[in-house]
Amino acid sequence: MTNNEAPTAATQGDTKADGTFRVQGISKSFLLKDSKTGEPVKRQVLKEITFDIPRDKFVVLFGPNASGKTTLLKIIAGLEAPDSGIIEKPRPDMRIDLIFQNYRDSLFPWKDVLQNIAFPLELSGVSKKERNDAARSLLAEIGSDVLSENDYKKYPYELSGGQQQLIAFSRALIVRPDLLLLDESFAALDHDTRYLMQDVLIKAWEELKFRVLFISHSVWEAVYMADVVVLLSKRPANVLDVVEVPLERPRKREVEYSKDFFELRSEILRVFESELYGRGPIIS
Amino acid sequence: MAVVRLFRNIFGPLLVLVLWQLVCMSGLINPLLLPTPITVFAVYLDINSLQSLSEDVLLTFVRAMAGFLIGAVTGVMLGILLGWFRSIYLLFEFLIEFFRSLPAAALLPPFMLAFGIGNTSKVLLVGFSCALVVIVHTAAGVRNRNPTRAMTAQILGATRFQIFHKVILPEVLPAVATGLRISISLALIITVVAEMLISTDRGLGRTILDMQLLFKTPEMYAAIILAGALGYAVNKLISLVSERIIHWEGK
Ligand SMILES: Nc1ncnc2c1ncn2[C@@H]1O[C@H](COP(=O)(O)OP(=O)(O)OP(=O)(O)O)[C@@H](O)[C@H]1O
Ligand SMILES: [Mg+2]
Repeated sequence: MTNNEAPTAATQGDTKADGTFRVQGISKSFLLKDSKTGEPVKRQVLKEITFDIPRDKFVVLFGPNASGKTTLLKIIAGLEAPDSGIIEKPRPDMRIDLIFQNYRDSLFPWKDVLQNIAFPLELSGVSKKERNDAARSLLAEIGSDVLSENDYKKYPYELSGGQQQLIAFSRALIVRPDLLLLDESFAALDHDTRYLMQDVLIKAWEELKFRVLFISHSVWEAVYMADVVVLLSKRPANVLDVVEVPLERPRKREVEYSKDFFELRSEILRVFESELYGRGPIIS
Repeated sequence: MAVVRLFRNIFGPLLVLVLWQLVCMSGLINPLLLPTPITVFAVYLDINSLQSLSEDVLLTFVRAMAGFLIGAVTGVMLGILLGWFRSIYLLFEFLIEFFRSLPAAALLPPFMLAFGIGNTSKVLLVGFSCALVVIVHTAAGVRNRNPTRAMTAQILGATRFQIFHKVILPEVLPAVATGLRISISLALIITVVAEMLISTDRGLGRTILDMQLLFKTPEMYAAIILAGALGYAVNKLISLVSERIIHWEGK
C-alpha cells in the first residue's frame, strides 16, 4: 500500500458536514551534530505524513520509538513548523489541545487539582467561583471513578499517576477543544489504572464529542480504543497503513478475547513487523 | 517522640557547655582568655550589657537585612533578565563569576572610598554580594527549567505575559529561594566583617572586636553567641517561609 492510498479508509468515515481535519504531506527534518565529525547532518524524521482525523472516529497513531510521533503532534498543535505539508483544518480558529507524554512536567505543582483544571479559564479571565464550578462539574462528569471530592484541594504530587493524568485531561477538556492530541498518555500507568483511564477517556470522548488523536505504543490498547489505527513506519516515518477497527461501541473489556479483536491485532502486527524486519535490522 | 526530639536538639549544646565548663575548671586555660560559660551567660543578666548587646544585634540585623533586600530585589530582576536572554548572560558571565569568586571583604576598602565609612558602604557591599549570588541562581533557574509547562500554557491559550507570570515565575521560585538562603548567611558574614573593619558605629562585629581588645572576654563571647543566634534565626525563618510557599519542591 502506498502513502497516497493510505488515508482513504479514514477519509471515507468522515461523512459529517463539519469538514475534514487532514494532516497533509507533513515532512520534517532536524539538523543534528554528527557525533564523530561535529558536522551538522540532516536527519529526516517525518516523510510525507498524510491521514485524516474524522470527527466521529477515535484515531490512534501507532509507531515505533523515535519515529517522530511527538514531533508530529507538536506540528499539528502548531508548536512546531513542518518543512513541508499543511494541517488542513475545517475552521482556522479550531482549538487544539496537546497532552504531553510526561504529564508530571506539564501539571502545575503550585496549584491544587481544581486550580490546575481551571487554568485555561483563569487565562481568559473567568471569575474564580465560576471556574471552580466548571472544574467541579467536569470532574463529576468524567472523573468520578478516579478522583473524589476530597481530592479536589490536593496538589498533583499528592496524587497517583492515573489521577494526575485525569487532571491533565480535564484541564484540556474544560475549554472544550475541537481536537485533543494525547501523547502516550497511559504508558507509565500500571495495568489496572491503564484500563480505568482508557475507559475514562473513551467515556469523555463519547460525551463531549471532540476529535481525538491518541498515540500508543501498545497494539492491544490501539485496537481496544480506536476506530482507526494509523500505522507509522520507523524513521523517517511515513504512513504504512490505516486500519479500520469495526468493533462495536460501547466496547466491553471482553472484546479483547474475541476473534475479531485477535485478528485485527494480528493484522496490525503483521504490517508492522514486516516493516521492521523486512528491511534490515530494527535499530538503524 | 517529642521527648526524643527535645533530647536530640539539646544534647549537642549541652555537651559543649559541659566540656567548656570542665576545661575552665581544670585550670589549664587562663580564665581571662576563656571565661566559664556561667560568666558568659551572666553578661546577659546585667541590664546595661543586655541593652547594649540588644542594640548591637538590632543594628547588625538591620544592616544585613537592608543589604540583603537590595541584593534580593536587584538579583531576582537581573537574574530573570539574564536567564531569559542567554546572549546577554554570556556577555556578562565572566564578570559575574569573577566578582562572585572574589572574597567580598576585599571589596570593602574600595566601597569605603566610594561610599564613605557610614552605613552606606556596608549595606551596598552586602547588597552587591547578595545580588551576584541571587543572579546566578535565578538565571540558572530560568535557563534550566523544563519547557513543558510553558508549552502547555501556550497551547491552553496563554499570552506571553501570562506564560511569564503564571508559569515561569512560580517555576523559578525554588531556584530563587536557594539563592536567597545562601545570600542571607552571606549578608550576615559581610556585615559583621564590615563592622569590624570600619571603625565608626556599633554593631555585633564592632563589639566583638572591641571587647577582645579590652580583654572583656565574657562580653566578647556573649556577643558571639548572639551573632550565632541571629544567623540561626534568619536562616530558620527563610527556610520555613520558603518551605511554606514552595511546598511542592522535592516532591
Ligand atoms: N528539537 C529537536 N532537535 C533535534 N532533533 C529532534 C528534536 N525533536 C526531536 N528530535 C529527534 O527526532 C526524532 C523523533 O523524535 P520524537 O520525539 O518525535 O519521536 P517519538 O516517536 O515521539 O519517540 P518516543 O516513542 O520515544 O516518544 C528523535 O530521533 C529525536 O531525537
Ligand atoms: Mg514521543
